[in-house]
Amino acid sequence: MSIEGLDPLIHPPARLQLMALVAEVTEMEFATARALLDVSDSVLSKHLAQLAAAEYLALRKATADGRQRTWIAVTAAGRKAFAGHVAALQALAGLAAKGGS
Amino acid sequence: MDDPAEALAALRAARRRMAGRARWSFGRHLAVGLIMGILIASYSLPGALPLLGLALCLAAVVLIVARDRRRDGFFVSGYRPGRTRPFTFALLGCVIGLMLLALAARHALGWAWAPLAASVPVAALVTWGSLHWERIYRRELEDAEDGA
Repeated sequence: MSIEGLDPLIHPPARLQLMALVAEVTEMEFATARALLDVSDSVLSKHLAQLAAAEYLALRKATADGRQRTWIAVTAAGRKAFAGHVAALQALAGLAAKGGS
Repeated sequence: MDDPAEALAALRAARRRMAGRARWSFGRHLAVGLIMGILIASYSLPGALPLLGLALCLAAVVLIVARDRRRDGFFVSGYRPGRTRPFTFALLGCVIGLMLLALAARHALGWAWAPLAASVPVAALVTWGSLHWERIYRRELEDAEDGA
């Protein structure tokens, strides 16, 4: 698999799925993302920190029902990077399909 | 995951899981329709009372957004990019058109009841529109061809 056009930051499966989920909503709460991805708190926190450091995701803390919650939103840069990564995956999958036929 | 087809399949699976959560009750859709209906109906009221209607409707929208966030753990704007956006703007255009007609009838013809009369089809249209928006959104998530 060629790495041309792929974003190594988004490439790991959990991050790819996280970006796919967050790209479809305005904001998603940490617990909802964790449940949808079926990962632990620490794993999700690690992925969020890396994507937020690259400014692909914006994290917002808010208090609700006496508990602090983290809300996740995709940034314009994150949306662009995700779209580019998916396009590269589609191109590679297309090439692989042609090569296999 | 070094196989691009496998990565795309994982991406589709995540979107389908999201589609399973993207469901709102009829009451939630009706609430949106009623808010728009009440907003327009309030223009039948005299003086500055329509401003009170506007303030009440804005407060109701804030409450609905807060409820969505609390209940669902996510919030989706009606103006999000994707297949839903053209529908959102078409619906908005219809509502604004009906509202302008009602306001014109009130001011040019003196029909103070015109906004009240327009509020009924607007409430019905927005309720249907909200339900239909949800269907478009879910379909987009379910049969997403990896579209980012």
